[in-house]
Amino acid sequence: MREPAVRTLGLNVWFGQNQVLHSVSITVPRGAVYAVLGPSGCGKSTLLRTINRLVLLREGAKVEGLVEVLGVDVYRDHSAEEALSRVGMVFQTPNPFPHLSIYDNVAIGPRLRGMARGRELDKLVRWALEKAALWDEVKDRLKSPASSLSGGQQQRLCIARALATMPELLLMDEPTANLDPVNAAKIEELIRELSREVTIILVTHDAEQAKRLASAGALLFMGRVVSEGPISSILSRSYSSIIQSLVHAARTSHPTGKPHAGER
Amino acid sequence: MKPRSIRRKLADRAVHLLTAASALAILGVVGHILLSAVVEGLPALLLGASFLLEPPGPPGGDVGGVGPSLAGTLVTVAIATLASAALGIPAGVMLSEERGSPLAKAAEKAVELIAESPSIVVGLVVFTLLVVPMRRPSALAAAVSLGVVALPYVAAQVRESLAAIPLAYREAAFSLGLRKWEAVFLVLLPMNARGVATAVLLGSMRALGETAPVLFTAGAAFHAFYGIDKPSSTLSLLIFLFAGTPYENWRRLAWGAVLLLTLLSASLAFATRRLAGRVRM
Amino acid sequence: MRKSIDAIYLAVASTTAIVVAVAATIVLALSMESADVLAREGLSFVLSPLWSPSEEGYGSYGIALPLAGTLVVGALATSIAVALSVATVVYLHEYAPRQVREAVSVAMFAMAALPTVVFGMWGLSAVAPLVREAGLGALCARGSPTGQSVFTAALVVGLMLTPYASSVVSAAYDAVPFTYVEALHSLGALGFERARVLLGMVKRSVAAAALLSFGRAVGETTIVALTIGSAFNPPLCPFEPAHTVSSLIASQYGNAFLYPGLTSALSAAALLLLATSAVTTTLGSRIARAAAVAARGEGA
Repeated sequence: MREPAVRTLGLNVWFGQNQVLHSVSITVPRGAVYAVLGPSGCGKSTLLRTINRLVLLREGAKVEGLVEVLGVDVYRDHSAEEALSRVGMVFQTPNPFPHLSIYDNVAIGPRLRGMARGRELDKLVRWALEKAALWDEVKDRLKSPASSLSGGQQQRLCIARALATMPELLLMDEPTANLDPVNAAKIEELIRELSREVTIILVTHDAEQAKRLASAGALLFMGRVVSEGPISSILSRSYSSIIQSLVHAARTSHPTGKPHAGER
Repeated sequence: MKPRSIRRKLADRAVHLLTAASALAILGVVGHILLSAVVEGLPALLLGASFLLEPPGPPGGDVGGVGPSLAGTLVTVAIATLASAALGIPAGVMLSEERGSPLAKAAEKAVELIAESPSIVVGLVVFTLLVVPMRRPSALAAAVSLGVVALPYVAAQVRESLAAIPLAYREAAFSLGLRKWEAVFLVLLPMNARGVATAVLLGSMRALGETAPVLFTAGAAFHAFYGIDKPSSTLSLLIFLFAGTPYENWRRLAWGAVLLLTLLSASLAFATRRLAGRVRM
Repeated sequence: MRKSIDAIYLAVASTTAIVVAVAATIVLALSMESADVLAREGLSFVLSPLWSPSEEGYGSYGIALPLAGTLVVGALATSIAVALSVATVVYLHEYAPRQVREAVSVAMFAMAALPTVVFGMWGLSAVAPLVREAGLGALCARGSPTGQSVFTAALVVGLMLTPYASSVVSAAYDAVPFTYVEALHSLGALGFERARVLLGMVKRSVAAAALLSFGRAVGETTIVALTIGSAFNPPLCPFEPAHTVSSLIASQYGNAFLYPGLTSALSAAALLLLATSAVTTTLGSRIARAAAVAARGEGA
């Protein structure tokens, strides 16, 4: 049995003096769609960025603990870069490079890695765009700038861009949050298709979406893992009641320094 | 590691070194300029009061001093600062507060034009308009040309700092029951004293550092300060004209002036920075 | 009450009007002074290489050689400034540790505060001798014996322009939305690969920096006068001395009273400088503003 796609153990992350992740330990099985759920500010985006080390770009970021991606300790191992080259990411707001053409956006990853050239590259770009369900809409204007696409198309372009490097793990940070329902549905369909070939970690604040797409996941609250496991067990109650009780518990206990209910 | 990734790493290394070399070059150049100024100029400066008060020595003789030129610099910069402030502050206020009006639009273009004018061009114009009728160069003409050169910087800085006042404060100022222009001058401008002070400092910094405008207007009187309406000189002019002479003592003198001018300019620059953080020069 | 308000407005408005008048005066005075020589010489003012104020009668005035010098020094200095700026910005943003960023930033600030005559003095006493000792003059037919040359002038002017060009490029680079930086990192792009894409996004600002620097280079007098060698020489080989329009004007400062047509000729030359500087700077500012607007739009 292969090692999990991602495994973290006792992961702590600080931004300066502010600790945003507390002893986070999760295991993402291969081939799963793994949801990271939680209210805004709970640290789910930070957790995602810790996996591919993007968190280090932020001011004063400090990471402690184990983060294993595709079997490699990405904060200590020399072969971290090689492992991370098999990880792709899609962001909340579509961010195709506006000054590059649709073709060049998809081709940028493969070009950097020297994966293909000329005809081979054309085929790879086509493959990625087909997988992202965008090919038919753009096949006649591959040279147009990416900025000429609509929001939903841009997000699919970003998915194609990530897929073109043939990742084994795809990190998706609330990919449908800024899209209209029609385009969101298209992306969800895509995620279902892709999950057959890649492991996907899906950060979302939408519990229904998690139920629709994910097989397993983790619920985060204020930088801590509250529950982890199959989706059905995490979301055994309604999401809003879970969050409500978590908020209530935070208010009436001390760990985060919030005042006692009676101390106002 | 795969060969392609090795090549990429090497290329990245190369670019890293190349760009670092560029940054290092800049550090080196600034360092060398400042070092030269200190090493070459300190001996003259260490002559103390005589350097600041005496006129230059004879060619091939004593170093002497930059007294008259320093006086010239102080006088012309003072007048230029006053003039550029007197014109630039109101103009800056107009540019900020009456943006759409025809006068403001014309002023916008005017300030741009003066800012784009090479300073030697300004000097030449003042030459034809002041020096020729007066039949001689003068500290006054120099001050006028320096004032014109400094003017756009003052106006632009005042405009920017007024524009940067948060809307909430503006609304508060205008809701006090004063008429518009009273509010501007009695409330907004004092609120923005820092910005105005920065503007004036910037103007004087400009005036201090310029040579080309005084070339045609100040004259070349290095041995005494004769008065505002008579030929004079400035530190920058002294440096410019004494830099290439074959006489060792005059070159020494020029370096002393370089150090002095750099110190003066640096003080103004740091005062500006203290007042306003980063400023586009 | 009304009277005092109007008084303030009147004061401000009339002062502003004076500012407008100053600008108008510059243009008018130059035009009127230049009329004479331009009427006599016509186009040959710009095309003729013959500059001879002492010639029979009015004198003969052609600024073709210094004009070529202005363009060559301007282009060279701009290239140097833009190259150094882009390289430094890339270094600071992609490779440099925090302390180095601070140090370079302070150095740039100090550099921007230096009067141009200090640069000129340094150019004359440190750079020209280097050029001379390196024997670079020998590479040219009329190589400079003193080390003062087109190259020397362009190098020092380029250095002088670098802080300003840097600030324009750096501001644009900083303004690129962080999400694109994250995207590049997530694709595994290395420093120079990221720089390539990000610079592509700020192309227009780099162009603006180039134009604005060129405008300043065209007008630069002090540095050039001290380092270019003041010779009526076509600027074909960089290690030869030459003139620019600005250094020509500066060199005549003592003679202005002596020759009948000289003031007019200098004014015409100045008018040309003003026009060139104004056009390039306005173009550069326009592009810079368009780039800023576009950047805000794309980031949204």
